[in-house]
Amino acid sequence: MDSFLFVDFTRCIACHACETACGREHGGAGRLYVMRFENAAVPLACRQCEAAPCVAMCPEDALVYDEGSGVGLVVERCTRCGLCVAACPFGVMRLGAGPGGDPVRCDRCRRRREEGRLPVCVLTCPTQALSVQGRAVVQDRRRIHFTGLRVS
Amino acid sequence: MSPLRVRTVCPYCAVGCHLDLLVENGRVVGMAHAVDSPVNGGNLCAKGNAALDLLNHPERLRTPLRRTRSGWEPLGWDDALDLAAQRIQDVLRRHGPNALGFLSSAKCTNEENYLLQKLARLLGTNNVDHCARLCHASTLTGLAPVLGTGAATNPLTDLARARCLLFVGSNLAENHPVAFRWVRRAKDRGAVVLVADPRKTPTAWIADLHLPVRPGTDIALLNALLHVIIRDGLEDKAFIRSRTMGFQEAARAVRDATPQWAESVTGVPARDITRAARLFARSKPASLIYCMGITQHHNGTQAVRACADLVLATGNVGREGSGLIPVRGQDNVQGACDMGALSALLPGYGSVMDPRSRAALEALWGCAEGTIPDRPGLTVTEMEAAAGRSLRALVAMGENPMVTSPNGNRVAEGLGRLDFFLVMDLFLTESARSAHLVLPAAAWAEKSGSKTSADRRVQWSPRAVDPPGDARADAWIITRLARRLGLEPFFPYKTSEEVLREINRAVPPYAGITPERLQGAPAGLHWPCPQEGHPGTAILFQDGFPTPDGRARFFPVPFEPPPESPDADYPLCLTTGRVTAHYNSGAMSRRTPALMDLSPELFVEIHPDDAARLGVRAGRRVGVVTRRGKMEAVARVASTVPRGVVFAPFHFPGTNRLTLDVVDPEARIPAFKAAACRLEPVEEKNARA
Repeated sequence: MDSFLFVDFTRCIACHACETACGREHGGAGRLYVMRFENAAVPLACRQCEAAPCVAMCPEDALVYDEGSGVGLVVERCTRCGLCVAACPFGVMRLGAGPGGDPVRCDRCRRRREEGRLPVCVLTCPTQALSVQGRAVVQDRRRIHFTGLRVS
Repeated sequence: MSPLRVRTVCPYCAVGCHLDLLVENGRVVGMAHAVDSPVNGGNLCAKGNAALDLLNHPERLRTPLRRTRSGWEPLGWDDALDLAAQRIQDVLRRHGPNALGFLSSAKCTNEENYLLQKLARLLGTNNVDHCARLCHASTLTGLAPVLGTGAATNPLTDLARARCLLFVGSNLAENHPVAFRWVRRAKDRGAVVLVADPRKTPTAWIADLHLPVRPGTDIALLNALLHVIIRDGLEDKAFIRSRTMGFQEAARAVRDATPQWAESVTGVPARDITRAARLFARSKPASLIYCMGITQHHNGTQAVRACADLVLATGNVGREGSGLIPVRGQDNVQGACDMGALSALLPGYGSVMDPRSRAALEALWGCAEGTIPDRPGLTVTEMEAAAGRSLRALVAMGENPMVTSPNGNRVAEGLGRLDFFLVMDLFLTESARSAHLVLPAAAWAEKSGSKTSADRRVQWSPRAVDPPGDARADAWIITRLARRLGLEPFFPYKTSEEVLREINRAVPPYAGITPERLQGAPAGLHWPCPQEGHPGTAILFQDGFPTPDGRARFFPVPFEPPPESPDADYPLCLTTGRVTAHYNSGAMSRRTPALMDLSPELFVEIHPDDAARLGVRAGRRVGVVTRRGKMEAVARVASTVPRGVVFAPFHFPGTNRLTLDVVDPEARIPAFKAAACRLEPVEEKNARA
């Protein structure tokens, strides 16, 4: 996969805009969680793991990994057993509310992306703590940031 | 058919973000981010993202309600307005106009604020005020004699161009998140960020230097900063010489305000004070951003002037990227002030005591000479104190004093003594519950009008949909009420546009801000805009100051400790503030599920050492007691709050039962920010095993 929801937590101000926007975009059930600590905050969402524990754990092969779009769900196969929820190392997979609630996690706003629009969390973030980035850019940014901190 | 897209101005804070509503068949079916907005570029905070919940909310008031012995009784508009007019006339006849009070609203449009103050003054009273009294009254009184105008000198977008940003008592990141985009941009360009705040807030997270000042000692810190700047010869001598007066007196006043002295008063290390002063003076242009941490004190007016002194001494006025930025809280608090919804000031800031200002307005209105009283009326807190005594009837438009005013128990008693209490609001708020008559009002997207954001940016926000049920715009309600009170000739308006045209004539800085121009201005217009064709003024004081001699004035500011300091009985200091998920009295945000998920209950922050010493456990309820009242809240134990300080947000009923109603002598703003308190254990009624 070549594009990621990149979280630069040094820019996050814990305003929770992404979380609220995500909930609105997805009918009330947000898929992104801002973890606030005393000196920083981290928006947490599905990392689209390549060797995804949720995919590996799913007994019905309802969760699949696709090289182009990341982790996907085949709704018809899902039994809502919840093993994926238990397996997710980030705690960002959860079963939707109510009967028939499918496992939900960030799909980087697939529908919006198909229309050529940015994920809603990226759009709403006032400090550009969230962005969609290619893998190479992510690594570059990290290196620049890391060395920049040290040099200055 | 794709839905109609209507651009409105967000109903929450004073950044003035654009929010696009998607309308289909007369209903809002969704919202879209205004990506091309010159204000917010599509960004919105949590509250803005959740704003749609306010439209068609199940708890919205849909019909006028009268309180009876058996509960609330719905009634039609004719009956409701007849009742209101009759009760107001009763009071007028028996007690005279000064027995009437009007609480205007920073959540209503310029037109509505203009109409309500016009109604009050035509009835013969200056008892009209609004919640600016509780947030930035000290900005008006503080800055008027210093700069000539009590408003932000530069647009918020300018923050991105500053080389140094000094925040004093402002938690911009949490309370105006979208404005923080410009702070972040400045930081990306290498700007220095300094934050003076008792707590390590998200604003302080990106600070190069955090100055954890003790609540109520900001003046000592600001004086010491000025002391170091003068001592080190870093003041802008050319600016001081050519554009200001009174520098020598101000310099003398801070001669003894050494960093060492300030350390003993504020708790901020002397070396950090010295470093901050040098950074601020050497990094130009620099901007000073202040908020309630400065204004809400018994000496708020003086604290504002201490901020201004610092900005003047460093020549940071009248140029891009510099400035003094009082960040306003509500979407139209700047506008409500501009419209004269203040007990001592007429539209455009003429004093009620100035015969010429009164005469000009009387001529414009076509009323009899001497209609407008020549003495200031009662302020918000004075009306509450006089309620049921000299004040017999109160009309509150979109205000919730039961939650927002200090010493809340006293407020509740006062409101309960009124002969007639009329509330116009979206919801049956805590205050509305004690009203005799409640009138259902329209929300932002259900009415048209102009609003003025924190940086004097006037914007038009059009009606996108109809209000629910029988709810009506406040302008409609005021106009109909005024006509029933025999003021028909003075309230001929059919549209907000007509009211704005009158404002163009009544408020000189708005003279060129006509409805036609405003509706066609995607970025709004910054006042002063003195005539048609004027582009508006984003940056104030580029050439001169609107003072008699065109110069700004330094004010020597003495430091005085807060009126209530911790003692043996009340050993801790209670300070109040906001959280990002909520908004003021919570009337809107506490009814929004997405926001309640983020911040569901009243809490207090306590330092881990204090918590350990007092046996307070994180997540458990604790009692907070001051000389005025008591509340219970969930304890949050965090070292972001200093030892000896307890922080409580004021969005939930409770906090303001504890706060201090001592007021600043000039601004009459209450000292919300520092009260002595103690913590008490709470017996857990339903303690879980």
